[in-house]
Formats: sequence, structure tokens, C-alpha cells
Amino acid sequence: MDFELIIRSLPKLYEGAILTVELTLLSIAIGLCLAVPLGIMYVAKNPLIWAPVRAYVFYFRGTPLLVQIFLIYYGSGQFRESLEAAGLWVFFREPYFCAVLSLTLNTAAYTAYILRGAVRNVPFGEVEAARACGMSGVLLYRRIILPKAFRLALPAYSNEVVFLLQSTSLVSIITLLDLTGIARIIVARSFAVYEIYITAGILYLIVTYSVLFAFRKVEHRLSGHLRERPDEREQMAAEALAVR
Amino acid sequence: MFRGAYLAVPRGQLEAAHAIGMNRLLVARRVLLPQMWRFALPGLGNVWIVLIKATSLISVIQLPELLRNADIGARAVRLPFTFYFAASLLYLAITIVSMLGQQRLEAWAGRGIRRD
Repeated sequence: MDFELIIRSLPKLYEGAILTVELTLLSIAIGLCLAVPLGIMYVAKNPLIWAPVRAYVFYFRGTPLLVQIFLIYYGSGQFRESLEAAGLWVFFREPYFCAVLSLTLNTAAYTAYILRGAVRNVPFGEVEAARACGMSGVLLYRRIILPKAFRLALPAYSNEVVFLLQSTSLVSIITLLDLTGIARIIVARSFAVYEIYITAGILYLIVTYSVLFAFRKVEHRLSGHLRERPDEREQMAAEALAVR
Repeated sequence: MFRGAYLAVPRGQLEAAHAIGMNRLLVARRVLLPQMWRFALPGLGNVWIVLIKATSLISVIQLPELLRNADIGARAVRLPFTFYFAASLLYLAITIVSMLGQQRLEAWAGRGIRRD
């Protein structure tokens, strides 16, 4: 093990890790905004609404992410003239844009599928009760179904975020210098395969576990009403001690 | 996954099997395994589909699998979208066949379960 090399390449790897996190956050944010309406449309009764959404989700869940990235990054070259005419070629030329686009579409499909399961699992009694109170349509979704569905979807969603984080390593194939991309370059120059890839792996591990930790915190906060109340007398005793 | 399936089989059934004199091997073959399939299959099916999609990553190290061949074709005739889209449809076809197979297997594994 060449520890000096590891320490020397840490700043570079750190830069790559920043890009990895940036890509993840960007695609997660946009993907979630797309996924909420898609998830609701997925369970709609009108086939004209659910059919295209289900086709989209099925396609993006059924094909590998690498193919989707290639389709957008290399595939767009086939329509260069029409994209240039529409003024969109400046975006599709950029690997960064293509990476964010494909990651976003991918995670939006997966998240919509998770949300669809969560919306279906909202206890029907709660929906009935809300209807009995006179809520319908948007109000019913905003006040009852969505908050409950988000809470139900959270464990599966944290998995999805971690998967997406790990999938961002694929963007190194379309020349982006994320953590994997940087590691590949340093390995190609120094031939120190183990040192660099293990270090990169540890950096991925750190980010992954931070994400999981953050989600655990959020889950804990959102399930306060389901936990048993702490014993009041004990709490008062603890507070009295703290004051002293 | 198999651990979860093992835990999902009701303990009472294993006890009952022991009580009527089956030894451990017989209990595993007649009571435990047939029910474990039912609990393990949905998870196994997921892993299978995820793995099929993950095989596309092998194209990065130049093994001539589906995506790598699509890549070669796309470069040769300069129609990247056509070739990658065809590849994606083939992956989709494999996924669909897998899902149908999974459905049949699950129906087979759950053949002893009463539906109401």
C-alpha cells in the first residue's frame, strides 16, 4: 500500500466526490418533483392518464441505466440537425446535462413506482374518514393521502437515493469526472489500482452512510406520533436534574 | 432473503411435523422448503431482474454482450439512437419474460394457499 499516493490524491478524489454528490442531489430533487404527480397519475382511474405513465415507468425500470445514459448522450447525436434547429443541441452536447437528464428520468420512474405503492397502501379507513369530513380531490390528497404516503414510502425511498448515488458512478463512462472518473484517471497514471479504488470505495461508503443516517433522522422525526410517550415523571425528574 | 423466508414459516408447523415423528431432513423437505419458496420467490425475482440489468455494465470491459454489440453496431453505421433503443427493447423483452416466469413460479409456489 502506497499511503503517500493516497494522501496526495485525496484532494482530487474529494473534488470528484463533490461532483458525485452534486449529480445525486440535482437528480433526486428534480426527480422527486416529477415523481409526485407521476405517482398520483399512476393510480388514476382514467386509462388515458395512467397508460402513458405506466409505459414510462415500465420502460425506465425495465432497462439498464447505462443504456438510458447512452441513449441520451450518444443517441442524441443522431438527431443533431433537428436539435440544433430547436436550439437544444447546446444542452445535449454537454455530458453533464445528459447525465443529469438520464439520472433524473431514471429516478423519477423508480420513485413514482414507490409512491404508487405507498398511495395504494394508505389505509382506506383514513380516506373514508376524510371523505366523511367533506374533503375531496386536491384537499384529500394534500391533507391525508400524500402525507401518509410519504411516510410509508420513506424506507423504500432512502434505498432509491442510495442506489442512485451508486449509479452516478456510471456517468464516468460519458467522460464526466465524478469520483469514479477521477479514480480511473489516477489509476491509469499511477497503476496503483488497489490504493485508489479502495479509497474511492471508502469515500462512497462515507456518503452512503451519511445519506442513510439522515434518512433515519427524518424517519424518526416523522414517526413521533407512533412512538410511546416518554414517562412524564421520569422526564420531569430529568429536567429537574438538568436545571440543577 | 432465504433467512427471511425461513423465519416466515410458522414455527407451529415445524413443531407439529416433529411431533408426528419426522426427522429434521424430512421436516425440511416436506414442510419447510415448500413454504420457503413462496416467501423467497418475490425477492429472488427482483434480484434476478436487477442482475440482468447489471450485466450491461460488463460492456465497459469490452465483453461482447448485448450492449457492447449495440455499441459496435452504432459506431459502425452511425445510428446510435436506433441501436441503443433496439438494445433497450431487448432488455425490456428479457425483463417481461422474466416477470411472466416469476408469476408462474409464484403461482406454483403458492398452490397450497387458500385464496378468498
